[in-house]
Amino acid sequence: MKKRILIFLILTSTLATTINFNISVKGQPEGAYGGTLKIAIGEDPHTLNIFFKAATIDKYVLWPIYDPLVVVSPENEVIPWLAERWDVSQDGLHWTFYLVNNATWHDGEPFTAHDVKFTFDIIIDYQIPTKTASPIWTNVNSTEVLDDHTIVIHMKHFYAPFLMMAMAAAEIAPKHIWESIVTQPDWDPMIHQPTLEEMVGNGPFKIVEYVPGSYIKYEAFDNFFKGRPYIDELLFPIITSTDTMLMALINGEIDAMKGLLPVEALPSLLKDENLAFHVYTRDFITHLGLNTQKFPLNYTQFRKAIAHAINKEELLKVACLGYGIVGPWGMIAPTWSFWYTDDVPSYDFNLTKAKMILDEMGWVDRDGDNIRETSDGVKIAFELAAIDGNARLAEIIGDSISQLGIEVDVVIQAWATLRSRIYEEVGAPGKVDSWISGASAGDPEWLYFRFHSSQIPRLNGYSYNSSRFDEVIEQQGRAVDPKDRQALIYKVQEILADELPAIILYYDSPPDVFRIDQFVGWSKPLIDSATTEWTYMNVRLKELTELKKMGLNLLEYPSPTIYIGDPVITRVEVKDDQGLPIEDASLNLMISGVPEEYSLNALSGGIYEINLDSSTWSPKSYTLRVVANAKGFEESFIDFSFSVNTPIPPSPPPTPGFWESYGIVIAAVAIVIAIIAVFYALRSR
Amino acid sequence: MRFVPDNFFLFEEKKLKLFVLKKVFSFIITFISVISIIFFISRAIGDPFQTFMDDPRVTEDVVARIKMKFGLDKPLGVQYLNFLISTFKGDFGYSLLFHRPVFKIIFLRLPWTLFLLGTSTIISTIISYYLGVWLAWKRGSKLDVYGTNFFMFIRSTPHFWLGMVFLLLFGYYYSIFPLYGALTPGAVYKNQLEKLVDIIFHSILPSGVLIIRKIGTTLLYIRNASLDVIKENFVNTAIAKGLTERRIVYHHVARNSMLPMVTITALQFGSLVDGAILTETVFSYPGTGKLIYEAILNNDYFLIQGAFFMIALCVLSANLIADLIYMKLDPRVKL
Repeated sequence: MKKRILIFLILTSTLATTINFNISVKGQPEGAYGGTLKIAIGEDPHTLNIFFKAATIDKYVLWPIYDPLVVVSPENEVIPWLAERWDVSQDGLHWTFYLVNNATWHDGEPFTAHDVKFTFDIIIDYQIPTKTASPIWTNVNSTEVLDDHTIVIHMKHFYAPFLMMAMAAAEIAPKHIWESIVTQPDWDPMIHQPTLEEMVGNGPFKIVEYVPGSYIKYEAFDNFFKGRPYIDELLFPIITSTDTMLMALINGEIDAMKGLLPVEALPSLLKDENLAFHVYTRDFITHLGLNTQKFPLNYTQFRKAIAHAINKEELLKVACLGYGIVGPWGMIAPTWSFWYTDDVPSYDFNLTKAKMILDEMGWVDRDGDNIRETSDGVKIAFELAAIDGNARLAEIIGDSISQLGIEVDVVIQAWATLRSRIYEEVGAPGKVDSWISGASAGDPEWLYFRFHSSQIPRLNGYSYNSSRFDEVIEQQGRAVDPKDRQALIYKVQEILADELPAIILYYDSPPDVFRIDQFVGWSKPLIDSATTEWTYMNVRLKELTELKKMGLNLLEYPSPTIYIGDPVITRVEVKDDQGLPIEDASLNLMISGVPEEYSLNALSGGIYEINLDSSTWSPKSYTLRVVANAKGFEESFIDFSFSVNTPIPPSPPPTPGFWESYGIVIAAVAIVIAIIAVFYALRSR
Repeated sequence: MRFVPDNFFLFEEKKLKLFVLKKVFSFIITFISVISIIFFISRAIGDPFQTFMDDPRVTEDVVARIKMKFGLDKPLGVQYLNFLISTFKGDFGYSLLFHRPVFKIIFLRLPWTLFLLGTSTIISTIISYYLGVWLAWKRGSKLDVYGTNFFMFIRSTPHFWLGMVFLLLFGYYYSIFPLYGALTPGAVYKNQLEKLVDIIFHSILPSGVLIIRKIGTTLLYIRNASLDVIKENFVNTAIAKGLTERRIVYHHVARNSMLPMVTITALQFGSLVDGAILTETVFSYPGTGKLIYEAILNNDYFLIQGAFFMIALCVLSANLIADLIYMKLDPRVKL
């Protein structure tokens, strides 16, 4: 900062002579609360409208402001939040939520069930096409307010992951603010942008400032129903390049970054002791999709042979330096422990086994070109498409499959092209044979949207049409009892591992990096980065929590007996645990528990001179306590006792005695006489 | 001008009007073709509603409804006509990515880009003008050889590379300048002057990259132009008159080699815009650069159209102004 000010001075000294260049970023106040947490984000939010949060960045930016009725805990479980509890009817069609009483909006209005109803009504009326809103309007029929703090949600049909997918994503908007906005003619959630004043939420932070392209600033909300966050401010600087984010992180300009850390940067970061890491498994798969309707991949046996030829461990190492988990054959990640089972068919990396399967199928090399043919003489060949970022993976997979005697044509394409080829109709000439791509996972219901036969023109690019799978996946959606659903999802995983419409290569676990030199209390969710609302709520300044010991010595004791009116002067020395003086300590004096006024004189070297006025004291024995406080140190004190007496009245000056008054004159006279006597005696001789 | 006949200006005025008209006309034609090309290219690269289709719950009806709202359900020809009409009414439509009027988005960002472009154009032009003429005067000297080669090198480096080097050196290893942005995040300013200082401070690195890159290009043109002028007889006359070196260089040579500089500055304005896009991305500068990048990435038709409309307007205006200035600077220019 000093350097910066210096540069300012140099640059502008020609422009102006006397300008104060200190740019004051709001300082850190005293007490348990304080500090500004800075987390870099990679782009501007696409919208600030809570009803149309579509992109990940929107969700992230609006997160501190608005809260839903239930939230997903760091342990990936749904826990009560603005709803303190809920009931569900036997058939799972009517959910009653009991709201907390003490929640208010940022402007002081109480949070009620009317706000919840209003929010749901808007989402249902406008059929808002975002991933957070669509689980609501496709499943919820209507809402009903029972009283100010009770709301019933009536479903169209039973929806198993309702809490996780719909309720936890439904941040509530205030009715009293939005009511007048949505009734305006031509209001459309897709193009409406609220002003900052309209962005009244119920979350732990209030939005203060948004400078497009530069930063977003939040302030702690004092009356948050769970207690205010420890930090005063939350700041999201917008840094568009990951490299710059890393530089700013290492330099200490930001505390954490929202964005995937390039794993290549990791080795150099690990040496920095100010940085800490959180490795979590994202709900994001990288998988090898197989077109189950096109020769030769329409043979399940053949897909199993391919599965044996894929070295997932190696792929994980190449793509993520090993940060991730090897793709489970049942497709559901082990992080979703309630649904995950490893009791499914599995295929180890074994080319011999793969060759055996192919031989059994009767697909052998018949014309000596090292490529297998069917009995009809059709070459076994297929295409493997991938985007540029996955080119290396495609090469490795292509290599090992071609070792089986299969011709693999690795094609690298732009995502826009590849995507349109994946989602083309079955049998279309452009439809791709197999491809590597990423996709988001999550609650097991994603398997329905990927693999159910009704999704074939949409997300089911595998053209996977299995009545066995369809039946079980439909059943699990109707299972009201979680235990039943769990059993069915186990079965789903078994079917998928057996029929292999796709092979999950890995779930990546990007290491998340953040600074621990200033803040402590970072939360580390199971399937999310460290920069979530949990962190904003829990994180606090280190200097407020971890305090150093302080040494306090009395240098000069006052006399044990003090007469009223006497000045009392003492000196204390304040030092840290290293023995270095603390210059900015504040001292307090307590006499038998009552604060005492004093005047303090700070000398250099951490020595403080305390002057007390004893004129108002009464004669008794006192215990004086000197309490020392300094920023970053534990409070420390020192006691000493003394008794206070009434002063003895000054005794009259003693009357000088005869010798005291005249002794000196007599002595002088005697000496003079003696000298004269000696003089005469010598002279008479 | 002493040699100009008396009736020259009368004659000139008529010609001048014609010239300006011609220029303005070609400006309009070019402009319309540019935005038309942008219109069709943006529609050829992809579908902005693909992201909605990625959500399995969103039905085709919902997407069709949204398309209708933005007038994208109509045939391409009708869309094009609507686009031309609404554009010249000043209505750029709504950004599909940022969910707000395109006009608002661009006008929040454009001042930053213009600030970068403006300062770097002015500073680099002045520096390269004086330096170029001086290098030409000192041709063959060590200064000339090293200077020319240095700027040749700079000229061949891409903007983003130079930007990253600057960032690493002055932002990271020696943390003199800020690493990112146009403002100190979260800063509270006491007054506007303080804010201005902060903005200037943040713009030093990005505009530094643009300036040094532009000097690399312009300087060589100026040097070459000056070399031609130096061979002229009037320079010899000036030397013979015993004028000081400075006076000869900056009075006689420099003024006569100003013409190519105007052309280069105007022509370079277009490539400077392109450089600004890259530089802004490297320095996380909140200009239009990053905006255009994101708009193209997400096939946001209306934002692409609006952004390129503004860029085309800026670049073409710069060229038009250069043409007009050119005429003013050198009356000998044939109209």
